[in-house]
Amino acid sequence: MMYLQRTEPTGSIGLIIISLVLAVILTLLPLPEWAIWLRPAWLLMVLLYWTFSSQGMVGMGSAWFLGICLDVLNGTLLGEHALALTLAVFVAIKLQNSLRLSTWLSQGILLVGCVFIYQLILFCVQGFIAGPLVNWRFWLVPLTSMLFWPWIYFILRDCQYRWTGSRS
Amino acid sequence: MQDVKIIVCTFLNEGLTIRRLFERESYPVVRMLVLASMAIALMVADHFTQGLMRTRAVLSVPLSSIQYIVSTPIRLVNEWGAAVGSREQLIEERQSLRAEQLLLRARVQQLVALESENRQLKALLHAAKEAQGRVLAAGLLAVDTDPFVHRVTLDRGRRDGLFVGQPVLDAYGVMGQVVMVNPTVSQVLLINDAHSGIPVEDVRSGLRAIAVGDQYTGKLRLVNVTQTADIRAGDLLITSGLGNHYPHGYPVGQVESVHVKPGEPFAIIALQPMAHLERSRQVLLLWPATGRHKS
Repeated sequence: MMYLQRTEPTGSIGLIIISLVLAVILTLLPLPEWAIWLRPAWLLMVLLYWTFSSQGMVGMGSAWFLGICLDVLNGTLLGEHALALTLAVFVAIKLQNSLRLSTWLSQGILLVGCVFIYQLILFCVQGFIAGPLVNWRFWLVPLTSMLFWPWIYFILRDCQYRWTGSRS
Repeated sequence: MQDVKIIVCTFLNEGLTIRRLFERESYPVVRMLVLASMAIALMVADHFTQGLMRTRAVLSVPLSSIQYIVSTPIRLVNEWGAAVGSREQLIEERQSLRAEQLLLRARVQQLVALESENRQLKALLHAAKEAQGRVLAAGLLAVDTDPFVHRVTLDRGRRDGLFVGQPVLDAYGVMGQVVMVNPTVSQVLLINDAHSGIPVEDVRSGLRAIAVGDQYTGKLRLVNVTQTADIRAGDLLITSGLGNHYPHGYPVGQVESVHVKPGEPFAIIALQPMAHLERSRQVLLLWPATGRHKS
């Protein structure tokens, strides 16, 4: 709650919740057969955006909670996505603190690394449960996520400025 | 008394420390370790025990509204497409449906004769009567689950009397079983999921086996069938009714290939599921008759 009293423009809770719910909906949207393995990691992208630019309102706790929600919705092992999202956001927070990345491009490059870690954890967990996965398209997800990053970044930033601007 | 005080004080202090850990942003490593170990503990518990099924069911009640939100626009688009479908298309469809109906009627006539004959033979053998169960049609919600899991979400739930373990069919064969029931939606584990196993029997040779899902190919595998067993490519496998889970006699899959490797104890047998697991939009839910058929 203490973060809300800060004066500098942060995300508002309403916008954060709406964008995260939209990301979950995009994750559940049916895709044609060939695109199933290429689905960008929508939830991780929106989470990372807010990690970079909401000044502590969104972090590993939210990532964990949303990961559990995703596991329940998908019917995957409970905690699988929670672990992957938490670790990916952790890496993002650590690197963000030390490198101070601020432009959308540098954050996008960091995002590719985070999505790769996310995929790697899912790959390992799946490997333990059901044997190794052989579909090479699985490893293209960091790239497809990168393609959508500028859109997410500029749309969310625009919304964020308008929302906080109208509030203050 | 003094001891208790000290213990309480320690606990309060610990509580304060823990709270401080979670309030400040400066301990990301600790937070990560706590959250990650919680996630791992959940995963282990979920994988090796059944205890979390209830938690899952409770959590999914509020989340099922999201599934409806995803599904509604897609359903509307489909309905709109059907509504503006051209007249010729509809006429064509009607004709083909008519032809199919005629064909099916002709087959049903044969079936009636066969059924009565079968009943007489069974009566002669004093076998238990195979009563017909109740069925209910259900639609699939347009929700994609993770490519790692072979599950579908149905738009029927506990309101309609569904139960965990209920067999689900489509027009061509067995699809799977209900694994989670909510008031309004339910999840079906398809037979090609790695967690699914279904007892089957070969129509031609009567051989019995278990078909399990093959995670990444979307097909089925027969497990523990010896290399000398009488099974060939093209054989039809039906549910054997053993295990009292799936009713007897519904088609499951067709043998696609039988690989025999010298030195291995069992043959590698791949099955193509008969049900259109990826394409069916309408499924049938089955309430097996209470008097189990014994063979």
